[in-house]
Amino acid sequence: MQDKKIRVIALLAVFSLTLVISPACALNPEMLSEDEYVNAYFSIYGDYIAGNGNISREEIGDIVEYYLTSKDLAGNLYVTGQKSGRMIGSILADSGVVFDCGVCGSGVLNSKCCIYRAGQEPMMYECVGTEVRGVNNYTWKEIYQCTFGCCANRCCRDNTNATTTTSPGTTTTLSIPVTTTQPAVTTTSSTTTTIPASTTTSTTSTISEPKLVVLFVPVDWTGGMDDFGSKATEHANFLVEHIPLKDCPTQMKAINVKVSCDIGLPMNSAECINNALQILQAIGACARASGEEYDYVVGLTDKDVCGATAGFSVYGTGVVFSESDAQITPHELGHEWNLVEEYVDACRCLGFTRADNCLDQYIGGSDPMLPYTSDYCAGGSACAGRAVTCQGNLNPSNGRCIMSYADAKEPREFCKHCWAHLLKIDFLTC
Amino acid sequence: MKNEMKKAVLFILVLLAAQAVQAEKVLSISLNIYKNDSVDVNYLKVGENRPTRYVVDGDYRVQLLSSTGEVVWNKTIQIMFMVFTDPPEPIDPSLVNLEIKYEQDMRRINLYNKDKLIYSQEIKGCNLNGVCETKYESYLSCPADCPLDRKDGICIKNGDGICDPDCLPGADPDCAKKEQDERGTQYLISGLVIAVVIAAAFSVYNRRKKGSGAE
Repeated sequence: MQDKKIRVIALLAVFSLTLVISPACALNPEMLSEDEYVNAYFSIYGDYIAGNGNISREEIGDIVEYYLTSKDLAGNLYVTGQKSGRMIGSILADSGVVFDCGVCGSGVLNSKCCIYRAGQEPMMYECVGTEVRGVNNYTWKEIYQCTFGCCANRCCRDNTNATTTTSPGTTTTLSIPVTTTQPAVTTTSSTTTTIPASTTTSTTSTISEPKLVVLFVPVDWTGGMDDFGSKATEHANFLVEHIPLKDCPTQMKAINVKVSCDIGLPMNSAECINNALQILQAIGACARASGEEYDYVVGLTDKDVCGATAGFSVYGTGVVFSESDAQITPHELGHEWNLVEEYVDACRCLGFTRADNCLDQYIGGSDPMLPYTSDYCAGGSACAGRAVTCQGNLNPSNGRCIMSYADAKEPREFCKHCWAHLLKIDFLTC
Repeated sequence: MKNEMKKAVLFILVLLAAQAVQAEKVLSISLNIYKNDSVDVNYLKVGENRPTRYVVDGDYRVQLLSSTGEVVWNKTIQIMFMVFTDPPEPIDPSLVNLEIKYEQDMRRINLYNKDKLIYSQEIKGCNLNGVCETKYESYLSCPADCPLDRKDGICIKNGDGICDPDCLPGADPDCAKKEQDERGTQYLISGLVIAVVIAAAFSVYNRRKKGSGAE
């Protein structure tokens, strides 16, 4: 214990020394410029990341805490400075939490970032545009701070291309993390996990409404809302990464309802399908009761309901239901966008002659599901009603198309015919 | 300085709230359509949402007419009598939900299957009869019949000081305030009742004591 104290004092001394030898420095931290503080901090932190000097995560936390709590330095720095978007945003005054760019433990700049918290496992998160993904239950302050540590589509340590704001009213390129969960304010029923719906007071920026807004509704959710948040984020991320908006992911906004929509889902597949309309209507009613605005509603459940059914939708309702893995959401929304099933030769056997994503024998569309033969798939002549008879078209990564059945071969992506179709839908493209 | 940050965030939230208040009015249409061409209306009323931007061409046509009979909105749509699941299953009826940018002069909806008119309905909006007819009226089209504190199937959650009973728990901050106020009033009443009971008991006790002293 004594040793630890000595080490912390020594590290604080090194940190102060780094400040002293930096240009235009001052011994009084309150007099520091941001540059000085950031440089000094990263000098120490760089050692930590590089494994030099055996600096532990806790010790880094102690250093941060010492400076931040003793002089309220962070409040001065990360609120008012011109470079607030720098990794000054890596330091949290309240909790000694440390954010860094790069995969946990590596410090390599990419879209992955890491949160180090004393006594806890490092937690990875991701910056996509100005959005922070992969962290749930963060207070507005943490998300705000973290977001300011992001550049376009990646974490960043300098403010080149960073989305920064100096103060309200002088925003340059402002994408605001729209979180409705705030401390000291009554919990609201929804939280936005994916950004844009932003506003700006600037005349130079060109911020528009997001092209696609998806509302995630917990349906008969038995777990906590944190679990729901994680699941919804997983679905939202998978969705945006697998549609043409993947090149401008901030154009999709996902909103999570934070109250379970209890509708008493049936336990078996037949009842689910018989009551599909009522279920979708009930989910739609919950969506309307959220007071949010959206294009599509995705009802998610953590219960094993509806038997073997992983999800379902009825074209034209704007509401889909998903019970399972993340690829179910783009599959069901794919139907809303007029894509048909690929586990059956839907164009030939189900009458969807005008569909754009018919099974194609040149990209695996004639591969059958046993015990059926390729005669039931692309280029064949047999049909077996609505039975699952085919593997589906191959996607460019050699997995099966998202429009095939739930457990088809991974990696799941849309096949080229689906992709070409989605590119024709203006709000799904950048 | 932290206060400044809080103010900044509050400012941003106020801006967002202001933006939300200016949400777009839409005509929300939800119809159950049967294979035999009969139609049930789930709702046909003014709401606030993003307009539907993607519909597939098909055999059905939705038409909205103005008071002069002019067609102000017209689109062919596809209705599929099928639940997409593994495997797909036929259904009857099917459901269609549309959100169409609302114009004051939208007075009638017509639905055709090919050229056959299968549904025609006046867009009522407001009939000022003191009853909120939630299929056709909402606060947005008829605040007189559907005041904000009455159920109309549409949650309006933003900063009006009135708790909208249509909102999910926690969605309308005004409801939390109302709950707090109600709880406060309950505590006050409970406190007063307890005080009155104690005072009465004390008074009775004193009288009895005096009475027994007089004997």
